[in-house]
Amino acid sequence: MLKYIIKRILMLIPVLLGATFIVFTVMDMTPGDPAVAKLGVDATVEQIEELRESMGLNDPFLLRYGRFIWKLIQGDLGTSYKNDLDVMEQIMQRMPYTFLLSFAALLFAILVGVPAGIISARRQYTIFDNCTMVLTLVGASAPHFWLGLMGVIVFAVKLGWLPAAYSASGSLATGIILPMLTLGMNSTALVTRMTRSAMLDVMNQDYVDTARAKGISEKTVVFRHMLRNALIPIITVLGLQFGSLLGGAVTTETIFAWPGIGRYIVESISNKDTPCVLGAVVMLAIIVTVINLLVDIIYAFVDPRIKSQYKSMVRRASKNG
Amino acid sequence: MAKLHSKGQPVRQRSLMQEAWLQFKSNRLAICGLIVIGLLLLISIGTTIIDLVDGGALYKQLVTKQNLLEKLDPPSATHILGCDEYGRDLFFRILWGTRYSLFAGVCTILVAVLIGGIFGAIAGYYGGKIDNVIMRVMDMMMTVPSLVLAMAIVAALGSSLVNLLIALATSQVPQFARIVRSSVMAVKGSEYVEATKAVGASDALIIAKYIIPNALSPVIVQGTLGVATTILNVAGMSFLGLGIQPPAPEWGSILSSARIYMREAWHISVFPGLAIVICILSLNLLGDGLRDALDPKQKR
Amino acid sequence: MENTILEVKNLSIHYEMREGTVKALNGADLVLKEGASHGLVGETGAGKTTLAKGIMGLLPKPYGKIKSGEVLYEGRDLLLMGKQEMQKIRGQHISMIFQDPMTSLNPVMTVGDQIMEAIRNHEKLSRKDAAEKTKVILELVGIPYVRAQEYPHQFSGGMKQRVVIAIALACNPRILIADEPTTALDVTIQAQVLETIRDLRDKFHTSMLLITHDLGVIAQNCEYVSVIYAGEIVETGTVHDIFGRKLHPYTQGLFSSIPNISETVTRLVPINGLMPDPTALPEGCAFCERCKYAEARCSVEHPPLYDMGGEENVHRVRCFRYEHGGERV
Repeated sequence: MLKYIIKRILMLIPVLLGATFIVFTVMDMTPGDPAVAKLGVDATVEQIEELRESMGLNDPFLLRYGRFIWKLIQGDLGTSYKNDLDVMEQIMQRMPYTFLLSFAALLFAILVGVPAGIISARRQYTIFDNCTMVLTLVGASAPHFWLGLMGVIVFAVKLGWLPAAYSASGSLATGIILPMLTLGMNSTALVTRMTRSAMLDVMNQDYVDTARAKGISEKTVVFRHMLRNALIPIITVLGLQFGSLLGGAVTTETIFAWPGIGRYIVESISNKDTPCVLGAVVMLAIIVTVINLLVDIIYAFVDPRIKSQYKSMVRRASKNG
Repeated sequence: MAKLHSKGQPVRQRSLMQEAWLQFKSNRLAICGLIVIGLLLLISIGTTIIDLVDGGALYKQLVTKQNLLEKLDPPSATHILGCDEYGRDLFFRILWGTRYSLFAGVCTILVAVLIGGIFGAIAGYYGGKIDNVIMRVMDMMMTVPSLVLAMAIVAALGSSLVNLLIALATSQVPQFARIVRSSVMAVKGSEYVEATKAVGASDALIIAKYIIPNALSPVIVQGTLGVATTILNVAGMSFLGLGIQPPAPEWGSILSSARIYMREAWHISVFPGLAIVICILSLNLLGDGLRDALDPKQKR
Repeated sequence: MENTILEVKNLSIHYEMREGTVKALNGADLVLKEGASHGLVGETGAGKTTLAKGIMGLLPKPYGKIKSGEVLYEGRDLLLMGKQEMQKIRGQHISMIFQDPMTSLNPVMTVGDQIMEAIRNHEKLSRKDAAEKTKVILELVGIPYVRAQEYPHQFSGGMKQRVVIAIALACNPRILIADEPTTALDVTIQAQVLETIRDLRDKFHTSMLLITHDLGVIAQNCEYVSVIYAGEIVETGTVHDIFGRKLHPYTQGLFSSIPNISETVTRLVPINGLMPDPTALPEGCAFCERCKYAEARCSVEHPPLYDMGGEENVHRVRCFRYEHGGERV
């Protein structure tokens, strides 16, 4: 198992390099001269040229990319054009907020979506099931920034139950509810649908009959035999969801003035602060990749077939070697 | 001897398409989706034709002309969905906004299908190293969330409609490359293609006759769902001020300016969002229906 | 030996679906004697599995509906039992082996855990004692205990079916229902698996209902046979009754469609036609359309079972041809 994890971590490196390369290439196309941006338009040609040389902007593209990666490994993402603050430091300040929001949304999606999906599957074609399916269809189709606005209008403006935006002085517990619901709604709908269809698939499997024939209680049949097998596709969906969840965090954070990394990106884009955008996007890509790795590892724990596939792969490889 | 239909087409081929249509027809939700999308398309084309014919006079009259007297008016008999912060009729703004979403969605997916299809076909057809390189690059592109990648591209190239479409198309390319690649690989290994090759058919003929038809149904299904994703992303980007800019009545950008007036005028926030929900819901229903009809193996 | 342990009386089971009602079982009767092995033979779709699942109370929800009948186990009607009572019966008193060993084991649980689950469900044992019992039962079916830690995908089809047998027999049930236990296996493995079942039955004195479409398997393993057709029993008796007398035209058809080594036959005679559509069963005899002896009344009047005496006085047949030879039941 440890070997499997180590191998997966090693496989991560090229993916990370590739993802950062794509982002770096895109951001390198930004028009305008960073040296001018830093010095302001009054600077002389000599001053600019001097700064370009010292920033390494005159070096070939690949060299600049290499330097970027080398600094990234050391935790250095450069400084902001705008205020000369350290980008990594700023990101690290905001990251916990984005994580908190995304995990809260994911947790909400799991805690609501999985039970709803199970009940729906167990009572297929009943009123509960039909209502759930209609709700999930709408929930999966509504843009979350619109849901967020609706939430604010109803719960903050009309009812006054919840704060409309994050404030450093307010309570985090009530402040996070609307952003969490906003961000989590699409995932909840998808998780519910996936759980339902996975449970329906599993329900007709022969091993469920075998389990029932043992005389174990229906509760045990559902949780130990059905859900554990249905979990495999559910985890896949959750893993894929995390990427789009981080994407959605950008708009959600903007609506609720949530001090996370998404809002940081939007602000940096409007400030044309390239190092900040580059740094934040690269960090997001790294996080998504790492989460994907975690999902793969969880897989191996849930599904024994994956572990042994890997074992036989290693056996074959060591025979050839 | 294959039985021939009266028009000279083999019976089996016809009945496959027919069966797909029958299956689709029996899905009432999917038919609803199809009708709504058809209506939205008609609205988009209709408004565009009107603008072209009268040189944008009606557009100016109904969509962009400000009337501060009616500023933030709630829904009434004269303005069924109310007015926005400049007193413009919300109903007409939403109506004229339809084309941004639909055209952006459709164009983006067409470009993504074309580019992704070419890469996927090359990867699947030639295999080996080329396949490996192309598919690894696609994997890497998929690790960056599509909205975030689109934001990076817009940040670098500036916010304009074309840049937005480039950005969103780029983020959709990997999906289509994957689908086309796997269809190509499935067809390539099949015995009837081997047989066609054995009698000396050219690559172009094999691609036109076997590979494209085979890849078509998964691409159509994924394309429908991809249009939905793109419309959501366009609206999202415009909402953030990184997409289509005001005064163009794009739904996301209406929502973006509505935020400020949330307390006074809830209707500006509600209706454009409902338009998006209806559009996306119809596309999703249509996509699910198409999947059930065209791709019975994937049926849920 | 003569005590009845399980009796199915007039059991009718329908599947009510949107597309129509499938009448899978229509008044089936069956008597299982204690310690005996009873074969149930019939073609695909005749209602064999439905009968087995009906006895176990495992009909697919929400379609499977019991329309009439009783399933008496030691005089108590299983169909009237509550959920919890039935859970005590399953596994401990009546067990079942399913058709396809490839899919009847949970892929994400170790084989040992799946057996242990059955044991600990019915017997209050510590983990250690249950593991000990698992070891004993695994070795009885011919699997070394070290493999208990493995997952089903690491086992071959025959080995999986042994595990399924171990699960079924883990709590020494009094009745074992085996639904085509060897159909999905290679011929050589089939014999081994059947031998395992035989050995274990001898050891535990388990009664068995063996469902199959293979008359050879019946001849080797059973003392009694029932022939099922379109959801009803058309002939039942001891193996000698059925194999020797073959009274019902369908039974005769079954026998002439399989090869017989002792006779020189140039070609096998298949039964013409198909079983009637279970959504639209005929009014009269279900076999009428395919029967070479069919008369006018066969298509309008439903034949009852006639008692034909036989070896142990249990031979019965559902056909008007024996109206005068036997006594109506």
